[in-house]
Amino acid sequence: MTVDGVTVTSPLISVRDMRVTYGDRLVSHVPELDVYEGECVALVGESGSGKTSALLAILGLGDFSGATVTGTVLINGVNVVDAPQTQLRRVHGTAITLVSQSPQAALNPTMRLGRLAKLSLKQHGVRGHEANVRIADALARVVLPDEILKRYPHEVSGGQAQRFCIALAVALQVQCIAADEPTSALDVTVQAEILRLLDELRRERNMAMVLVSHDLALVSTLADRIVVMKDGAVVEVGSRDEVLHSPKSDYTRELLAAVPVLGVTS
Amino acid sequence: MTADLLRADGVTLSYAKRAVVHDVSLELPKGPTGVALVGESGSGKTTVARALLGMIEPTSGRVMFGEMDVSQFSRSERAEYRRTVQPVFQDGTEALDPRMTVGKALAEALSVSPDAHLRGAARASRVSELLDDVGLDGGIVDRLPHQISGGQRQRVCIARALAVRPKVLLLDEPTSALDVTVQAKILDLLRRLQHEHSLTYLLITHNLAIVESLCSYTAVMFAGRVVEQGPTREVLLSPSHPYTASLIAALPRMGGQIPTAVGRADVGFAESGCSFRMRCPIAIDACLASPELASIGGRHVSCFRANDVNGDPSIVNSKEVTP
Repeated sequence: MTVDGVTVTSPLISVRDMRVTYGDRLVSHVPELDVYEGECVALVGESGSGKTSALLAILGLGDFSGATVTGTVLINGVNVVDAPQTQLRRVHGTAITLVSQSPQAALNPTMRLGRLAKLSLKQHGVRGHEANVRIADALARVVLPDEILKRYPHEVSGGQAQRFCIALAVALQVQCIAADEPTSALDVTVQAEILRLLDELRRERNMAMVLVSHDLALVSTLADRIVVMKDGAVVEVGSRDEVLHSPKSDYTRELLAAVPVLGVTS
Repeated sequence: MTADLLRADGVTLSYAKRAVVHDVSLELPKGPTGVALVGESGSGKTTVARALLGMIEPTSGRVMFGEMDVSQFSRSERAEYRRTVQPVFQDGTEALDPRMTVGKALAEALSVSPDAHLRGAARASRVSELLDDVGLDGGIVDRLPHQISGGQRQRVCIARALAVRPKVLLLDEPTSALDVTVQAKILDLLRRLQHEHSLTYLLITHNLAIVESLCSYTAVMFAGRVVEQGPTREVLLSPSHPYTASLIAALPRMGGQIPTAVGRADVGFAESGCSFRMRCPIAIDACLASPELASIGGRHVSCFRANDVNGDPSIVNSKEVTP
């Protein structure tokens, strides 16, 4: 919460000893992580590092894929790890929402976007005129024409679909966007647009963001703090500058060295 | 004639009367060398590559293999050309038969190679030579594709392509399904093979940062046309076309600012005149006409304002009025 421009220092999301396991296999372990309003925290790592498992568990969705989640993830005072469905749904509509890697797959293909938007707001108790106003405002904010509401998900481009998913988060007025590789299915020019949009929302509305990505360069342009994961464990946590310029773990150094840079032939 | 191995000569491809590739000319010289085709989804880069590979026939224009027109080939000539130009795709899981062990996959490729006559120990030694070439252990021959890692699968695909002793490898996003540390190793491998076997690479990628290490020449495609082509270092480090500049500006840089979004990518492209003008931050009235791909210094650029861009990617941030 912000009072007279001063951030009150209680975290929006508070993770303690969160473990995601399949059977007896530990796929993701986050000992401690706090995410504050307006802050972007990135989880970076390669395939199998446990970053997406961690994100889903933070959303309270870890057990949907058959995993077992233990520990605590407090969002607005609710421990989403063992919260009942009704409570979890409230958290999703108000505190945190997922923006996924494949926006088109995230949208019901049988519904026009307009109906999807209304249904999404209705689930969280926003109806009628209020819903219409919020949807129109959100579309204007993400710079999509109203006419897009008449289209089906397959009738819009990947970038437009991702803008629409972000518009839903804006319309719901959530405090945090959980983004899982939000631009990895998009062209680099569209990626730049989406990154700008996410960053603007963060600044304007003090939205927090938990960003999962394999792309360290991308993450480094957006994140305040970076969590590096490998084989289910957190190998390093630090501010963006600490991780980029004075990494503590060998693995982080290896990752940094592996990123190809335009204009530097190895 | 020219010393080019393979050449697209004014290639145009249409689907249902709609041209998706317009008048593309591209030369693949003898190796070791590489030519990159870059551009966003739908720009036509894979279609051009498929035409060069002989998988589709151009609606107009020609694909030349040495001095011969590919469309005029006899069966045996075509087989020879197919051996010379080998593809390596993005995803080894899809490119390999899931029921075939690595050893069988390589043996199958050998059976259509110049080494088809090898038997017994000689054949086994050729297989281990191929595995060695791509840095794989001999023990992998009994494994199925799903039993090995993504990086290993991509190495198997490369070994299989090398089995027929090709001169050209078409690399279609060869590392985009891989983790960044694995990507670095595959790029090292490709660079080594390029020199050891004098290979010519045709690299299709959206990842501009990997182009330079494999390709000395780059063509940038937008909406089915080449908008800029020339030596990689010139094109990517000092672009002359505003589209190339916008691609470069959009790349996230380690520890840098949020990359610049230029115009809106979803406005599409213009059907007449310069196809990029609707997105172009520096378009002028003249852009309502179609620019020619003209030679400027060592490269070719189709832009009326190429001289104003002149190697300065930041020009795309200018706020000049668009028509």
